[in-house]
Amino acid sequence: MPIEKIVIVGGGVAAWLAALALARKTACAITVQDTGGIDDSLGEPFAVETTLPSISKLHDLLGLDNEQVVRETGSSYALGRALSNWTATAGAAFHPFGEVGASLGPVGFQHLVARLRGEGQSVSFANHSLGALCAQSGRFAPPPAGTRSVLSTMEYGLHLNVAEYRDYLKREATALGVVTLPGSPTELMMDAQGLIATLAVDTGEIIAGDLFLDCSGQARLLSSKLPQSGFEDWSEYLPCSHVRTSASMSSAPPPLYAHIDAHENGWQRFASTQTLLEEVVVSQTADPDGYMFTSGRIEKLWAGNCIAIGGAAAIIDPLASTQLHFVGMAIARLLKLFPHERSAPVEAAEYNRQTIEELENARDFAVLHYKCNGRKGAAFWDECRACALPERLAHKIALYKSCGRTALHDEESFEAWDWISVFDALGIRPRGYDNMANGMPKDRIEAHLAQVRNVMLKAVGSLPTQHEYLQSRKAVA
Amino acid sequence: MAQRPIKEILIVGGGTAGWMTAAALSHMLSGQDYEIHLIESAEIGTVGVGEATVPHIRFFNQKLGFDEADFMAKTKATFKLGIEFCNWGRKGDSYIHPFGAFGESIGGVEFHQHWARMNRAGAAHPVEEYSLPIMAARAGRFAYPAEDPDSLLSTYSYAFQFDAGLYAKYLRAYAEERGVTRHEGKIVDVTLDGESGFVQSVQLENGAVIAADLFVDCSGFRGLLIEGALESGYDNWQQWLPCDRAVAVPCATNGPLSPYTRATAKDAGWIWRIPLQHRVGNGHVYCSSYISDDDAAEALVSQLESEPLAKLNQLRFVTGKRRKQWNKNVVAIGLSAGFLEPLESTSIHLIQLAIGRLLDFFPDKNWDPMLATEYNRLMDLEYERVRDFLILHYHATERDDTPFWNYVRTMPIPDSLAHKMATFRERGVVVNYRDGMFLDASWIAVYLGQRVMPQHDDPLGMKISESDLRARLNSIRDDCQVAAHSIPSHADFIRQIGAHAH
Repeated sequence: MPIEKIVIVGGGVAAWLAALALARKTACAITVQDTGGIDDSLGEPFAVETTLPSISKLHDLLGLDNEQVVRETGSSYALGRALSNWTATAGAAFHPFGEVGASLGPVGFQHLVARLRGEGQSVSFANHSLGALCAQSGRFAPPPAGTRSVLSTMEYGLHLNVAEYRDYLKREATALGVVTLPGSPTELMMDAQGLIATLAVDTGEIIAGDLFLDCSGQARLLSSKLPQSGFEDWSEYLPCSHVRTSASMSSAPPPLYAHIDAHENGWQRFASTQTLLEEVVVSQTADPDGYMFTSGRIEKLWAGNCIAIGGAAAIIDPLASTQLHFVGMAIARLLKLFPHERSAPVEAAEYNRQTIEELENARDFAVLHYKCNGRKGAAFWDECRACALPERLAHKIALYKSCGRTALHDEESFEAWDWISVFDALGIRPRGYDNMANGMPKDRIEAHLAQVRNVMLKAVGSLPTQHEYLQSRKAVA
Repeated sequence: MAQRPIKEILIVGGGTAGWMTAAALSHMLSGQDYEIHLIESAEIGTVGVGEATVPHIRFFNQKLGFDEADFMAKTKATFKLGIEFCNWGRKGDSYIHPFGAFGESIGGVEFHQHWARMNRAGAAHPVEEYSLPIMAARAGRFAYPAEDPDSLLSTYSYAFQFDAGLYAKYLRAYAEERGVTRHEGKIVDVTLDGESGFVQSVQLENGAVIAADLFVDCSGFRGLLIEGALESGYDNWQQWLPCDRAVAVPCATNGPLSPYTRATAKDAGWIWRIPLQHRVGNGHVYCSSYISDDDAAEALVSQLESEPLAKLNQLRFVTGKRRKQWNKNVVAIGLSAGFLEPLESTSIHLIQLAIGRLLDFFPDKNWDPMLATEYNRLMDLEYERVRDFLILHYHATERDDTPFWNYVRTMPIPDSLAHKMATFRERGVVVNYRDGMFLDASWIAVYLGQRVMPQHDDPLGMKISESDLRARLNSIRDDCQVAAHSIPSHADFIRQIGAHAH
């Protein structure tokens, strides 16, 4: 029996992203069972969602235009994260999206920097990153398609106003025929194969479907009712479990980055859009006014004919802003493996394999920040440094410390330069570097770095400020 | 920690692996204070018979600055668009694994999904008719891929088939010009450091002792240093790849010059045919538990297209991989690192990859253990993924006509491969990974070529009507036919670019 009707439980961003994608790509009838309440479908109820550059791919898939999304939702652009107070010194460092610098022949940029640093020079990655230089100067415009200038290497994400974004997605999906029904599921009725046949909803309705998506955030309204619905808890690696958010109206030009500042028991994030400034405080200590989360994942992400997406599937400490990225990946993966009937054990096995790899790699990226912090003498941070490490991350850290290289696996959310930028931001300096950097005259390396920086500075100087850019697009619209 | 550069590098063994390593290191390490030595013995033969490669070899040659026409003339090379596999899925079957994908995706859904749907409906031509490189190969034609990315003629890649002995000679001249010192002689003894167990020096038959900091073991199957001296261990893969012998012989070309390699399945193994400019390399890879050496030789010779040009060359091997390809100060490259039969022309690619990784993780005298750890992790992945791809060729068969085929058809396979095959069979989805040289297109070619067919439609492809799809498929097929016949014959093209041997 083919999949004809899809029921999506949860009314948040995750649900509407899935609804829009499935409405565009499949011929199925789609119902969103809107459970109401706060939107924690991505994991935490943020007012501003800071995304990775993969948002562009997701929008392509959804048939959305970034520029239009930004305009219609009052959102803004983002080029990376500023990290402060993660090391012993009070300085700040920048983790830009995308690559830093440029290789010289076969030698990677980090090795060139290592060579010069080894000779006592002080060289910063951020000074050779297009994203960091743009972020610092507040200048930005999306690179035009097909450009051959250095601007084509710029990768950007978005700072989304979650409420407006959700409404926008809902309008788009509704226009494609997606139906919204109110109410929360109270009971699942299973068929003879052990698949979900129908949902009983607290409005008294009985909802039938062939495929069910659980986008209900931590409540896990479907997944938690399935047999063998275990949860793999990662709080031994990611100790923070409390988050408090406070958003205020702001019409100041928004910075092109999120600022992540470590504090005594965790960290806080400042992120702005065109209309909001949100402060998020994440910590280990209980907060009566806050929201609780547990880092980890459910054991079976796709079980039978039910797939958990977003916070319902997994939550990773929001330090690295991966939750919306996971939703995009889940949607792309589901489309690639879209089942031809309700029972799909082969598709589910492959979906789960990829998703678990992805979650573990991204978890490790977040764990790195805690594990390699430099705040010695602070109890919380001392404990983080002493905590156990997943084996893969231990290998990644040891390899970087050894030779400045990164060991990447299947389904990485972060590529080599994300890892290198964070290693460097945390003050880790490799013992060795690519031997071929030694085969080059020092002045050739210095000239290369100077040229890279000059080309970038010139490109940055040619851009408007983000504020100017956004105003000019409003005028066009 | 200060870097403490090593000084002396000793490559043990000539042949393709040894001279590729010598040439690459002499080029990439130029300008630094290294001494590169290579020991080889004229008495010890090399295995290279006639090598077929994969497109990556072009990057290796380009990096070293080889002129392609000159390289081809001197190694008597031909162009290669893929490999033809005969009698694998069933006796009488023939398919080509090309360097290029089938068709093009339609409506965001991959081509092979649409093809499978139409094929189930009985409305598709054989899948190879939607591949330009296969149509060109079948017609004996070749031209360089076009540079215009919008042209159909830009959608394939190519490799070479060449005389490995001549390639080694070509590399040797290059390496010696760049300061590599060659020593003639047989190694009779190896001295290890009493404390670290590192290799200190090797002694030649004439009494000369050669010491070095880094040793690259290119001694072939024997693994003179990596196994003989360091006992690094070997993972035996014969349970999945049971062939353990080969017999090889060249013959003269009889007929037009084909731009592809052929692998024909036999009763207890398979026979390769590699066309070079001046002759054809032939060899029979077989499993000694199922066929005698004499019968294997007879099976090879009886099907030659012309008289043999040399004596039969007998080889023995054990399929598998060295447990530590980099152990202490020895890095094994080539057959000393592992043996995977040349069914998909992977040997030279694995050498190339090993050289690249050695340069990436090039050691200094601190001998940071993480370098070898990561090198070994990455090489293990590559070997295992090639292994799975090779096993697929044997296992995905309907043949039940000999005990050999009954064994490989019914043997338990690695879980990683079982999962891949199940996923493709269910819905045509190719499971892919970050590392591993064979991409989706290669897996699809072998699956479809060996009758592993998707059982179900891709639901997302059903938005396109059958009649629209039929029209699209027909137009892709026509375009491939026209393009394939718009390019010169293989032999003409080799002459046109001045790549023919003088």
